This record gives sequence, structure tokens and C-alpha cells, in this order.
Amino acid sequence: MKKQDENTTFATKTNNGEMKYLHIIIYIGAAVLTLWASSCNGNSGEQDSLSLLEKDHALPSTQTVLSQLKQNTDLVTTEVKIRKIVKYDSSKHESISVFNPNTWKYGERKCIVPVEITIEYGYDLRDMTIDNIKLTDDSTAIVIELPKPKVINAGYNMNIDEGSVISISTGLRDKVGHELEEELRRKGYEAVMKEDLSSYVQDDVEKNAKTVFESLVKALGYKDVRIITFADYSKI
Amino acid sequence: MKEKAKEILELIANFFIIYSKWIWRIAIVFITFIAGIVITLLIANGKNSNTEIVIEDSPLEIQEIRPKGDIVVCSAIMEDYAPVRETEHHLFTTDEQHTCAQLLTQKCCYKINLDKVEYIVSDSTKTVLVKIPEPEYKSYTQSSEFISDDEEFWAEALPSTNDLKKKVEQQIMNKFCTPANKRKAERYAEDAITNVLKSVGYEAEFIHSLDKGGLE
Repeated sequence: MKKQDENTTFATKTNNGEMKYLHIIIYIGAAVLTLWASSCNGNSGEQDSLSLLEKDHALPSTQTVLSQLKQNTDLVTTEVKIRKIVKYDSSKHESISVFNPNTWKYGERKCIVPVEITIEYGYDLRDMTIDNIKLTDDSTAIVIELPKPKVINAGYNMNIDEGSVISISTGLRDKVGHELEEELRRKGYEAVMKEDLSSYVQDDVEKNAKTVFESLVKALGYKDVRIITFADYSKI
Repeated sequence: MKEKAKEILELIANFFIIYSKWIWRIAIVFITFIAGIVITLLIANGKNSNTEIVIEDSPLEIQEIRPKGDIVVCSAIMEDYAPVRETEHHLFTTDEQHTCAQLLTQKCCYKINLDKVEYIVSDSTKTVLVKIPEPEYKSYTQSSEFISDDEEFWAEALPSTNDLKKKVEQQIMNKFCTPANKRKAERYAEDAITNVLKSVGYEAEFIHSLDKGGLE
């Protein structure tokens, strides 16, 4: 009985001895984990500044001219001003995937930004050849055939009236900043440029083109000027 | 010495044995806490991760359709930027440097208003004396991009980007409006008018000032 007790005491002592080291190992492990976690946090800070540096590298030099000077001579006859209200609601387009931590977003972002777009329509004068301008046999009247009008210039308002911008962010989401506002305005502009506005503006463009050409040719002394637009000769 | 070290080690070990139950409880709380921090960090990281921005459909409002009579010459796409750096001061941690940049892409060109072009026609020689006005610089914003290291910080620190954009616009204008480009613009406009006049049987002659007496 005494021997059994001794054995049990020995076993307990041995177990206690192993446990001692197990506890020390667990404690050291927890300390290492904590240190590793804090060092990871430091690395992410470095990555942030690195990514900005990369962005900085992507910036063009101040001397950058993206395209060469175009040898264009375009005639602008009509200017159209358009206003679009650009609406963004993150909750309608974002989905959460359990396996993708990048989609774990708590909260929503909403924004309304107005964008004013100017589009100028007209004609590329290089598209007009000598065959498009004809004199009548007695040289008293002139007939000008105009090609199909096209967009000559387009762009959107550079300045933002911050008072007209509505932005909402909830939960853990960042406030809506300039980056998102600018991206929304660009998307709004692209959406307008994709739309076919010819049904709204083509009549005006051609009417204004007639006025411009008439005044140009009448300055030369021609009293009788006939302008045939693309719409006119597509009807013939 | 060796024995003393053994004694201290034994003391530490005994401490763990006596309080093992509590240590385990604290460890579980600690692990749960770490897991919570990791999940929060992932959510916080996720809120800034790039997702495609999709805008809602909305109708267009045509505000104005205006007649014009301009010849557009010498167009080019130009891009430039202006950076801003600022330091964020913290109470307990070190100060943080922030950077942002405003980029602008503009289509630049010169315009000549046809209403201001003057003509004197000589039917006998079939020549037209033409005086073209000064080309006028115009720019159209194609894209306006703002990049920063901390969108939220810059939303507070820079309430409006309009001044920054004006600065970039000025930089673009300075680069585009060179005497050489202006001369090119005048030459292209002269070519365009010459072609139109030739089509109706007239020769064009360009002059800097026009009076009824002819050339000056």
C-alpha cells in the first residue's frame, strides 16, 4: 500500500514536473504571439506608406503631355449643357463573402453628386471635300452638303459645389471623401457620353450649322445659299 | 547559484500549478480578445479595400442648347497634378505624415470665333482679305482624380479641392499656351478658312489689321 502511494506520489511528481514546463511553454508562446501580432501591425503601417509611394510613382511628371498636338480644324455649331445627378449606394452593389475578408464591411456609404457636362457638336472640316461645296451653273447659288455632325469637345465642370454634395456613411465605413466624389463624377460623365443624344440635339445642331455656313458664304456676296445637311440627304 | 536558479524555476512552476485554473481562464479570455481584434482588423481593412463603384441610373437634364460658330484648332490632351503634404499631430503617438494629390486630365485647344473674322471681298481679283481674331484658349475636363493615403483625414483637412484644381489647371494652361502653339493654331485656322474659300472659287489672304483701303 505504501509502495503504491509512493508510486502515485512519484507519478504526480513527474506529471507536475512536465506540467511546470508545459505552463512555461504556453506562457512564452502567448508572449511571442503578442509580439508577433504587434510587429504585424507595424508592417501594415509600412505597407500603407509603401502603397502611397507606389501611387506617387504612378503620377505623371509635370512635363507629361499625353497626346501630341492634333492637326484638327473642327467647326463647333452647337453647345449643349447637361446636368446629371450621380447617385451611389454601396448597399445595392456590395455583397459579403465569408471566404474573402475584403468583403467584410460593416456599414454603408451613400453619396449624391451633381455633375454638369458641356458637349460641343459640329463638323470636322477635313471631312468636307471640294465635292461637298457646289456652285450652280450660273454661279449665283451655292449648295453645301454637310457630313454627319459629331462630338467635337466634351468635358465636365472642374469645381465642386460642396454644398450640393450629400454624403452618408454608417457603421465602420470611412466618411465619403474627395476620392469617391471624383470617381462618381467621372462615372457620371462617362454614363452621359455613352448615351445617344442625337434624337435630342441633332435638329438643333444642323439648324445652327446652316446659320453658320450661310453667314460665312453670304459674307462673300452670295445671296442664295442652300445647305444640305446629313439628315436632308439621308431622306432623299 | 545553480540551486538558486532551480529554486526560482520551481517557484515559478509552482505558481503556475497553483493558479493553472485561473491561468487557463485568462488564456481563453486573451485568445478570444485576440480573435476579436483580428476580426475587427479584417473588417476595418475590408472597409477600405477597393470595390468597384457602381452608380445608379438617373435621367439627364438638358439645360441649354446654344448655337455657336467656332473653329477649334490645335487640340491636345494634357495631364498634370498638384500634391499636398500635411502632418497629423497625435497626443500619445508620433506624428503622422499624410500626402494627397489632385490630378486633372484636360482637353486643351484654341478657338476662333467666326463672328469675329472679318472679310473684304474683291470680286475683280477673286481674292478675300481675311483678318482672324486672336485664338482663345479653352479647356475641357476629361477626368479629375484625387488620390490620398487617408481619405477620411483629407475630407477633414481639405474641405474643398477647388483651389487645388485651379492650381493644376493653371499649370496645364502654362504648358499648353506657348507662342509656338499659338502660331500653329493661327496657321491651322488659316488653312481651314483657305480651304472653304477655295471651294467657292476665292483665294484668301490673311492680314493682321483690316480697313476699307485694303492691306495695312
